[in-house]
Amino acid sequence: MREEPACGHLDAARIDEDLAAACGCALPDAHRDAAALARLAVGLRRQNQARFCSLPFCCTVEAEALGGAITLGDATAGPRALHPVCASLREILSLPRINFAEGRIAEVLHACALLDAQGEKVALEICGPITILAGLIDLTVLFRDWRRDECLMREVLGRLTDELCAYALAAAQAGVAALSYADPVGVMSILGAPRFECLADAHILPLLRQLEGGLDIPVHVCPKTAHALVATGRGFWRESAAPRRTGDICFKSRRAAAGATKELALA
Amino acid sequence: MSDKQTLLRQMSDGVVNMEDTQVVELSKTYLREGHPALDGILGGLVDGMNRAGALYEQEDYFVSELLLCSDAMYAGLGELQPHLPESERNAEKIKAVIGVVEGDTHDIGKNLVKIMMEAAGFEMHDLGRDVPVEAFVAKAKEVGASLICLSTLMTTTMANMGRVVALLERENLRENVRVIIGGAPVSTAFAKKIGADAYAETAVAAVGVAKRLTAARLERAHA
Repeated sequence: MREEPACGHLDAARIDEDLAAACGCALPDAHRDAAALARLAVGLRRQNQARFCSLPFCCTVEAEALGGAITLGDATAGPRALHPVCASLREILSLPRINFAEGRIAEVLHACALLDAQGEKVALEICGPITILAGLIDLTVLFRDWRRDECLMREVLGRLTDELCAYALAAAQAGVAALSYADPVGVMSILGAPRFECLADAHILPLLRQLEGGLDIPVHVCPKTAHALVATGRGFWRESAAPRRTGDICFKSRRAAAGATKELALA
Repeated sequence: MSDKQTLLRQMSDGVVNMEDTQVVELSKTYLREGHPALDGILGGLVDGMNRAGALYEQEDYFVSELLLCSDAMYAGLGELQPHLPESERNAEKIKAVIGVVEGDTHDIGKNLVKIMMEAAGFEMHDLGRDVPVEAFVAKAKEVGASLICLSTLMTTTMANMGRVVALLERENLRENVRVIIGGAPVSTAFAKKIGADAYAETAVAAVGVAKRLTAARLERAHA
């Protein structure tokens, strides 16, 4: 049950100083500048010979927008959480709603719009709730409060579902061509089956269903999450009816025959 | 009056079942009935943590469970430790400095290693995450550590592990301070490459590696 697809993505969006300089950007300031983010995204796409420009080069944008204490780091080590800003799970509910017109999250969305206007295809990577929460609260406190009060955790997950839905809609309006959803901390090998099932029922499935119904862009679900949804009976694999134009965004199951493309469907 | 063995078993079960408030109550009862704190720690709390570690190794428990078990263990330790006799509190333990290297904040694995090593009797000095190279060496000097345990999940930051080893060498501390590394991108080969003493694949394995590396010192401490 703890076996998961290996993740080769972790450092994939790394930006080295040479690339940043070639794009006329300086790190870490570029993280707060839409135009610089857009230039970096194009530079990285060309360097990797990718079809999509990926943003935002970190997994702290959402936590920061909720009030997290984030350092943007430097060219070697990117943005990361400094210290917890909430002492209990309940305090998460008191955090202000994300304002998509302010701060770094606004710059990211603006960068998406700039790239779309240039004819680039943009894939926006959205972090799942446990990774967001890990930037706001100590994980042991999170797990302890979750165990003591699952209703409270479901309430928190519901709040984050609303926030991420709004983020996804804002991204679609900014011209994003595809969304990527991953929750590196909220995976089965860390949570275990009961907590993953709670996360899936209170957040992942409602979020994906809302995105499926409300957006006309593909959503790439991290293989670790996708496999866990299938393993817990909350999803299944189906052959892609028609190859999507999203290329590398399409999820290829390791279980699929060579060359065959499968996609996740919600049960 | 509760039987001592029954209480120890209940404390151990409380840790395994992640019942921190129950463990606190049991620890208070245990002390009230006049049983020695050290036995409560070793035969109750640490026994429970070791059982939880075994369940983790068997993949019956996951990271979240192990963190909650440790939460219960620490809650019980908070009750029992102040009642240890002076000699036990001052007993020499092998000291280890642990942390996630600078640039990385992924500290789950580091926390698990710290928990399992504490349960195994090491005195852990946890520097947390995103720790500068110099801080590891300074702390090791300050506390007289025999071990430094380094963790990272990022390929971008694993080079900092080598910098810690290099700084230990420059400070002529390498003979007395062993270095264990762990984390997804590192390996035994990487440990050799940077001059670390060992790579530990899991938190439980780290305990065995630490004991092996400090065997001589442990013997002296227990002599």
